[in-house]
Amino acid sequence: MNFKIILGLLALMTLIFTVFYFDFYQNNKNKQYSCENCNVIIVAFDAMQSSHVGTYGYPINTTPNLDDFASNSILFKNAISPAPWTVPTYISWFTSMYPSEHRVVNKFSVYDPPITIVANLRNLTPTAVTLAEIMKQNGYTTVGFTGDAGARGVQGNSIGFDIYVDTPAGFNGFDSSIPLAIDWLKNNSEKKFFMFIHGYDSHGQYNLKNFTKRFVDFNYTGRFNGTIQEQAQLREEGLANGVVNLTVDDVRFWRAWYDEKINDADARFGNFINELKKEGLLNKTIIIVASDHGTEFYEHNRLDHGHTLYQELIHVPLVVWAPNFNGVKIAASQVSTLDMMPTIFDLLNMPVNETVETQMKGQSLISAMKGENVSRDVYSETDYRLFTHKRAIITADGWKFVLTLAEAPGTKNVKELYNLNLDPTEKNNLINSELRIAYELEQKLLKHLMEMKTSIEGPWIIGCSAVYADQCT
Amino acid sequence: MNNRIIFVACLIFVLLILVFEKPNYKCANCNIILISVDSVRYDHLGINGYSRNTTPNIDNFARDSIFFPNYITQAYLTPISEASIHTSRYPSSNGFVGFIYYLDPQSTKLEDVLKYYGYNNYAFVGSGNFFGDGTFVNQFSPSYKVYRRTYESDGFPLNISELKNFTKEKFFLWISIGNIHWPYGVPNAPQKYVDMFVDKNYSGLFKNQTLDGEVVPRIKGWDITSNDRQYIIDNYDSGLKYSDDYIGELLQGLKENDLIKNTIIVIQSEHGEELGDHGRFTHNDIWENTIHTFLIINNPALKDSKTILTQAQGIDIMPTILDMVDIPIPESAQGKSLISLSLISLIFGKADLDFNKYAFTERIPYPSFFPDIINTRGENAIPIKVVYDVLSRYNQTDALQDLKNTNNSFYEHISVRTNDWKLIERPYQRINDVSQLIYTYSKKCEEENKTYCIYPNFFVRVQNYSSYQLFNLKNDPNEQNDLYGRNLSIETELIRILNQWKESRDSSGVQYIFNSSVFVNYTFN
Repeated sequence: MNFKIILGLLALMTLIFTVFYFDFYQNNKNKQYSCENCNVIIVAFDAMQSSHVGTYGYPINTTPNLDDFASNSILFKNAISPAPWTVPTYISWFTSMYPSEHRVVNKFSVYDPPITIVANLRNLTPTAVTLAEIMKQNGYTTVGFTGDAGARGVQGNSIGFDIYVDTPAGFNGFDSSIPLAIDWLKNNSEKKFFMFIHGYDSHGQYNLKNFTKRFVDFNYTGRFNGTIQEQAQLREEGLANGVVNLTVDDVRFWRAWYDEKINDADARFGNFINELKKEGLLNKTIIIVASDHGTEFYEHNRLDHGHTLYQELIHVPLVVWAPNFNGVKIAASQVSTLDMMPTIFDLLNMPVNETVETQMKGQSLISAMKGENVSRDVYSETDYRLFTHKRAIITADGWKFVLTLAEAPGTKNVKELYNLNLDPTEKNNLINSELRIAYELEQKLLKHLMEMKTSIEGPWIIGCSAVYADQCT
Repeated sequence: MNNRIIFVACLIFVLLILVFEKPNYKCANCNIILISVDSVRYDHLGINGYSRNTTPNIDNFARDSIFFPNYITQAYLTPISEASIHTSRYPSSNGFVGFIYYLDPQSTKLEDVLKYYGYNNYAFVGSGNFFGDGTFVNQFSPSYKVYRRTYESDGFPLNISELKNFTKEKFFLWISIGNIHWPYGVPNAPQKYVDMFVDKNYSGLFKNQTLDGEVVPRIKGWDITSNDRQYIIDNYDSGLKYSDDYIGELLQGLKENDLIKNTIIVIQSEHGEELGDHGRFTHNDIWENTIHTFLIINNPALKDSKTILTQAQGIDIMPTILDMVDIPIPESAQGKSLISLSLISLIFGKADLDFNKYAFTERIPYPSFFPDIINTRGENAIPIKVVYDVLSRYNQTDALQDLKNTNNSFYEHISVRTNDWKLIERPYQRINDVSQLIYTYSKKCEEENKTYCIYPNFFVRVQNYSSYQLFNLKNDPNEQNDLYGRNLSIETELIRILNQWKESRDSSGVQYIFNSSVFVNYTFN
């Protein structure tokens, strides 16, 4: 190349670079948000499908309080959970690691020789550092009020918490956890705190003390009464047979049952937010509201959750309130709930060491909160009760590839491909027609598995790993 | 302060980019031709210094392309090596370890990937292994629009006149040339080739014989005169010349049809050949002359030709092709893109680089050459029983014990090679070369009282190899002088590398599934 041309180009590039660099730097400096020493609360509505939430487009007014809260906060339209059930997900929230990495993938992990002890993060991945641990190291008091079951402390959820309540045993809702939280707040108002509040209100095994049927807006004459026993039976039937047989009315009825639970949970949540307001905490607390997963209501011929990676199970509500944050109302980018942890650190301007940086697979959502498009490929997985082993990728532009490694003895490597933009309900498997996209996504997924230090080789055990008390006997 | 450093670094980076023009080797939507020439010994190419002008066309093409003279295959048998190339996986990783095995479906094939990206795949096969013997054809042909063989004896699978049919659409052509493969001498080719190198006055052992695997010393090496050996070599060279001329015509035809400018052409040989180097002929082991062949890569986007002395492996071909046409390489690929690895060489002219310092090859037993352990559980399975009988008859109790010891797994010979050294691991050495050939020819041979009969109708040869063999390829390229036990530091290092590779081979998903209904009728189009 001609020397003069090189020199000229060089000079030009220097000029351009300088201008952009200083401009960018200055802009960024002014816009850096910080809520140092703010409190942090994570509120988990367990098992709540985003499509049953008013502000996500549900035509029925199930969540007026959450909707109101969201209207003053930042709503994430496309948040995806790394797993479709509880046991792996809160651990993922608290470590920003995928289930295959933190290895708490079932209530009872497969140990050798087989022993029945509850899986524990400390045993399975001793090097993992949790959100609560880091908050505590930074002078926060860490408290958790949960509904037990999959949020149980012994699994590793309680690591780093000064107080972690997961009693009484069972599936308890906000009616258990929120009063304790409010009580604690009243007595500890001077402390800088990180709080995890969790309720199983929407879950299929949460017992509605009084089923008012207020959302059953038609004359239901079907066979169900809306009990947790019926729900459990349908769940197990679905797993055993691959489908359950429900009429349109049955599904409508069960959704109404779900709506009532959600509505109750929402009321309790509303109450909690009011208490925060009363205590003057709203302006010095970051609040993140999310679900760990959704619930299937026959979208793919079954009920409950954990057993597939369809959107009804992994598309979850995510709302972020950060005091004085100058951002958008709605963030449309596809994100993962793994992003919660790095986002909290970023909002607090809390530095973390390199080990934690490397550990966290999520990304800070601050730029998304400012309106930037940060859509990226996200991943989700399940090994639910050893009934199934699935891994999925959803690309930033809405293609979803699901690999079922094993689901029954003899089933291996079943593949699905969906165009979520054209087929959001995932009815049309394009695996045999979109060969190029299927290939590219499969390779990305395999690469992701390799990065998590797993492979598709397995062995993929199909068996029984209990979650509920009456299983695997 | 930090920011200033970043700023300066960026400036330097920009400068570097401007000064060194990175070669743009991407040729997305280029057509692809893969030519697999069977049985080419590297040292019989003119460009490698062979005394005869056997390969002027290959030589010229190599000089105009990226040439890898130290190309090493991962298997010594045609379809096994070819399957390894198309899947970019070692045979032990893709399951296709013998003629009649099943390929692991997780081993993604080159032709399938190309199909996803709109390539039209055509296969023209001239090697018998790709259309007759075994399950290669059933497992690979579905990926092609057309999978065609030649029926002419010593014919070529694609006529030059057909090239004009390929100018309309994006294509992947796989052309397999099988004419060099034994029987040596291309007797049905035009006479000038038959006569080309042979001594007209030869009147030895092989005169008027078809030089196939039953006639030439194959598994057994027996003594033949140097004239006899030369006669075989002369016939071999005929086949080489004949195939080289065809390749020349093919390249010319591509030029005339204006296909050169947008077609990537890869030429390789899936194994070499023994020509009496260990008293034997054909290809049955992982000796240097059987696994060291040649690789030429011609990419229209890369105008500068180059010879790269670093080793290339057969498993690198698929990643290299996909890299050049800008298609993502599957995770299952075990090889790497040679172009990416060679970029520094292509820019700066340095020819000897750091990748592929070690090349690996496998010799896994399969029926009719070795006892197939997995498939011969139970007393009634043919190969093992026969072998047991023979070993007992010859009082080979140690070998018999070894055979029993291998009952639950394959045994294999594997090698690690650098440009200077070759280490071969030979476990169960006492049953090396135990082989069983069922040939009715042997009966006929007996009747005719020939001296070189394989008698009785199976042959046992129990060799006393040590567990490893070490050869200095610089001084002893024909591997005549086993140095194992006399180079401790080299041996230790190579054994360590070999063991490391053995551990890392990804084969847990593979089942060596053996299809005993071998000769499946396949209808050709």
